[in-house]
Amino acid sequence: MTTTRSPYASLWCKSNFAFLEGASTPQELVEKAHGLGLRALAITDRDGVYGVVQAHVRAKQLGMHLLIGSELSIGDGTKLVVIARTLRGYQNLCGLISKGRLRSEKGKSVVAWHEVCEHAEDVIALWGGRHSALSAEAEPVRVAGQLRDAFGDRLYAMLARHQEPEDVTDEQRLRERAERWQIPLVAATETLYHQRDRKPLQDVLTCIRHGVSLSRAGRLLTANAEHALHSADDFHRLYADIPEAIERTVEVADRCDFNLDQIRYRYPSERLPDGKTTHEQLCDLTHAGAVARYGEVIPDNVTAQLHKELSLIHELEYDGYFLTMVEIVRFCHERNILCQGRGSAANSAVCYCLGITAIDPVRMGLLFERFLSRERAEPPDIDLDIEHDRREEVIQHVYDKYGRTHAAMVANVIRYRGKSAVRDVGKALGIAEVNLDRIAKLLSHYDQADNELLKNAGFDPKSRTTQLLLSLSEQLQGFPRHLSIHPGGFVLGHAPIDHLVPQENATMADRTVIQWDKDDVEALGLFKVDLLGLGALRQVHLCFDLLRAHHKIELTMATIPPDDTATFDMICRGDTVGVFQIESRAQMSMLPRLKPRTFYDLVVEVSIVRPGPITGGMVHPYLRRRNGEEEVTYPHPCLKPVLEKTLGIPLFQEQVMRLAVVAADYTPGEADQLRRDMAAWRKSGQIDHHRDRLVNRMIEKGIEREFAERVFEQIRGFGEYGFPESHAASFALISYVTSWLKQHYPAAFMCSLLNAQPMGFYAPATIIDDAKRHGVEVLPIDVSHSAWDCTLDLTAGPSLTPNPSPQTWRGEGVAGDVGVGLPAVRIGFRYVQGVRAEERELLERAKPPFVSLEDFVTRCPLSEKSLVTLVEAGAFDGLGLSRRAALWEALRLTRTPELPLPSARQQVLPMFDALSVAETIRWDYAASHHSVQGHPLTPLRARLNQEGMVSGADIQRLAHGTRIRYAGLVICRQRPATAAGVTFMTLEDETGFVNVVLWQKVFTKYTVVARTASFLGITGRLQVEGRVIHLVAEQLWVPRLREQNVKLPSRDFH
Amino acid sequence: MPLPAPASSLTVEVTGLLVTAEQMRLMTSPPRRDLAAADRALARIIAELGPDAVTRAVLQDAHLPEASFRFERLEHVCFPDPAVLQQLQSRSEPPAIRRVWAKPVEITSRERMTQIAGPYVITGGWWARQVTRHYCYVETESGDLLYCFYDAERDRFMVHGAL
Repeated sequence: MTTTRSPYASLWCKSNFAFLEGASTPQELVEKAHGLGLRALAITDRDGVYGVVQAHVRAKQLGMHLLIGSELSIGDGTKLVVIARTLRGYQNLCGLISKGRLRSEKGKSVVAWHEVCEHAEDVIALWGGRHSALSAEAEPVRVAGQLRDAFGDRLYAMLARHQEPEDVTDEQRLRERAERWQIPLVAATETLYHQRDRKPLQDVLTCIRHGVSLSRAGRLLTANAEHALHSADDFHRLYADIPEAIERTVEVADRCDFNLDQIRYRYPSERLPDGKTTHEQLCDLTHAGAVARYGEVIPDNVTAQLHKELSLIHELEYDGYFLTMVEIVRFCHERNILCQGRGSAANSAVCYCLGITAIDPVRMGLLFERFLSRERAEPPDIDLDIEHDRREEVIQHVYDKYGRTHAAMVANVIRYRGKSAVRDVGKALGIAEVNLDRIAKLLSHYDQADNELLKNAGFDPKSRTTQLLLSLSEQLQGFPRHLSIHPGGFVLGHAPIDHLVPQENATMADRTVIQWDKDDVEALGLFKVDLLGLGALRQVHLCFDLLRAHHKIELTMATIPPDDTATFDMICRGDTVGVFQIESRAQMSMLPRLKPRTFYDLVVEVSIVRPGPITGGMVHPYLRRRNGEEEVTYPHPCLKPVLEKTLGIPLFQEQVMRLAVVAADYTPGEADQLRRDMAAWRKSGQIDHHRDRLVNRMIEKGIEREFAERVFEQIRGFGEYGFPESHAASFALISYVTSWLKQHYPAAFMCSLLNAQPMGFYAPATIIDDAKRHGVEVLPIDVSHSAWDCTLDLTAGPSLTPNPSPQTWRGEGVAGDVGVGLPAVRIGFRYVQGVRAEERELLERAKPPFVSLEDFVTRCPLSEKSLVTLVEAGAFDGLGLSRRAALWEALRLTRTPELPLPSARQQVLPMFDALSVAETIRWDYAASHHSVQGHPLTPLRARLNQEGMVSGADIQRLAHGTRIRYAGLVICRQRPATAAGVTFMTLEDETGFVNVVLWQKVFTKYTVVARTASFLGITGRLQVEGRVIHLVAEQLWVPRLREQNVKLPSRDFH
Repeated sequence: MPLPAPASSLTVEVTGLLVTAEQMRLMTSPPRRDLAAADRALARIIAELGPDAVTRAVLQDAHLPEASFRFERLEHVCFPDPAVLQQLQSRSEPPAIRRVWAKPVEITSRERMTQIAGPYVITGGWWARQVTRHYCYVETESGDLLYCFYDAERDRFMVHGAL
């Protein structure tokens, strides 16, 4: 856009990172300012610098001068806008914001004037605006003196004209005082959006922030749409009477030469023994680790790899980071906390030798450059999985070691998604909650509302309110809603963290969080330590503990016997409920096709059911080649070493990188850039820059154009969704360990899985039913036998030997089984809904056995609600009382006042009917979300058969193309982006699972039932392909049975 | 006590005493404004003319002039806030009163304007009925001070009040 006036600088702009105030993204503001030809733009979000990294990245791309500042909330209720002039000024700004944030509850901040003055060095203060003390009625004589002393010529009186009547009196006061106190005037407007058409969205955000509807918001809303970025012409027109104030905006901008690239980051240094340098210490530890891994004679190729890695680590000055990771892993080992590195760190032999990762990258031929490269001036990223229940111990250890000033957790910006956007916009528009609930039921977390969906929810798509709801919720999607905490990302610094970025309190006690998320941290090249919680590691740990306690077997992740035939048989059957990573519907469907027989097959399995390989069209060629239906060929002999492991089909990110190196002469660093561009191509389109280079160079090598083009399309299809091989290998290791435990010790496996909940893909009821189908006896909750957690009961289970014959693995050096029968699993009190954690101690302290319910109540005084739920869950069945009678008795005991003396009067217990099987199951589900008595469909089977419906077991025996009617409980709904609108469902009955495919046409026709029914009837045809059976739905319906059924929680559209 | 004969003279002896509040009340005049009487009068008017016959204006939190106040029923009378009174009395000249008309009137007069202050923009109501008004104070050649606006949605000029 051209302008006839001299440019100005916009000094007071709030982005959508001024949570629920600004209505434009930082990028939009920067782009618009650039388009309008502004001299500079200041991002001044409320009490923070949340959006500045995004603004900085965009401004850098456009060559726009970005100023970084903030609008501070002062203790007297007024505001002050400050802008950092230099790096020192930025540090002062961050320190000041941290002070205000850390003393306030989450989401709030307040600083005192004297603190502002203490942090004034190299900071510019713009004093003005509707909520400033300078334009308030009361004259701020003392504050003016303080600010003039602290800021000197860096203090400006900020005019703020928004064409509101109140501007006149505010400005009169401000100008009179500014003249009297000799504070120069500078012109501004409070920018809340980049263009005027965002005013409705800004109004909605205001309503959400204040919890009111638009019709009641009144003067909480801005009076007009004058809070957009102005063109130079408009700005000059607005301040035509005072041109020097416009010129001063440029003066302010010119005085600021700080940008985020000036941040000098240093990783914290370690105190090392014997005056060693960090590099020497790292080399020593790596060598010791290599000896432990490989023995005294370290293979030459390993030595060479270690040397190469250590040299690069030293050259890039990353030694300290590795030592930090070693220290954290050591802490975990000392505390008996299972941990394992994931992600690209598994490409590093140094990480393997240091015990950070468990996969030998040299043996597996993994590409180190995927982890670290000279060309990529970025710190390494080591993600450490830690058993989730104990991650907090590790987090607190990091805080203790580095201190709150030098360690803080990375933020996670919670953004509006489809459901939350519709809900909040709907409330602002004054739509009744009950109507919004109807939409929410039909909308998954990530879905976006559309006309069809709103029609299904009973809205008139043509009404103005509906149209506003649609358009505004669409605009709101992706906007920051509030700041949360990253699951485990830490930033550590040699200098205090608040010299880099402000810190604030998290909701969780003892946690502080920085104002940037992981993308911001990565964009600025800061070191991040990721400590991630992984439920599967917790489960494995618990299972090892159970095996030690009950079977006298000592196992670790490293001593689980490899290549176990029975385990792979189980995996090939797709019998993997509860197994890490390969338990999902899609994975279970793939297993009988891919038939993994080795560990590497599992690595492929973990990777192949990913959007990358699927959209890249790699799955079917790979399966055909694996099954011998297609010849394994390579487009060029030079690519054979790269693609040999995966039968000529690229499946992993590393292969794509190697392919670029071998076939198109990329350097390893360039190949890594290719990977990064692959990851970002949807956003940036940068992958297309590689097309000519890749294709032409491959043609030069003698590779046919057609293949070269296809490879490029595959690379693009990979996008951000392909796994690195190293990451897949780390996960495959846990998949194998959990598979082995499930196969050989199903009771201990299930018990540990139940105790590690919430985790994984399935609800506890499904896990219990699956275990029962595998012959595990599951015992109900019982006050005389249950503990808080689920336990193994060696005396109660069926007299079977453990599931497989253990001799296959005894020879591997694992302690033998004690040879007892298959233990039963006793469900623990943790599964009784509503029993509070603080009542756990009461339950554990009251030692069983109990002779009566009264005896229990006397010794374990739970709340009435908890006692009733225990009764309803059947925990007193063992005392010989029917549940209804026990309920009567429990209420009598809790509601009868205590008498001073024992009463001789006998209570007469009314006669109650015993619960039927169906009722028992229903009560169980209501009280504990599962039932060991049976599946909810067991009592309905006869009726279902009468209605002509088959069971899951029947389906296994039916032929391809058979038309059937089936009814089951929905446990999972998925509509992958890669499946062209196809919806997949998993239904469950008492005999097992049934996988259902819904073509888009059917889903659209039956959308309400498909989205909401928990007990679903389907008419359709069977599609049988070997062991893989799908029911292709033609009609959906809700079975109308007289018996009321339970409702299972399903995993919908995740 | 019966007197034996008619009294021919009377002597009064006066001594000083502390005056009680009750005595003082007997001596002072009743308040000039009787709130209870006013309330009774109001009640009679309301009974005669209906509950909406007596109302008072109350400020509302809104940007549009016509939405920034409402009339509510008045059933009790009260004295004005002394602080507000004092503030008003302390002014050197009385405040300018902007009288907002119940319904804006389209400008038809061709009278010349001698001074304009504004515009002050009000934009909103988009969720029900979009309003965009550019308000200004206008002094006409004849000395009238008018409160006018340009209705951007309907492209017309209106008078909304006078000072």
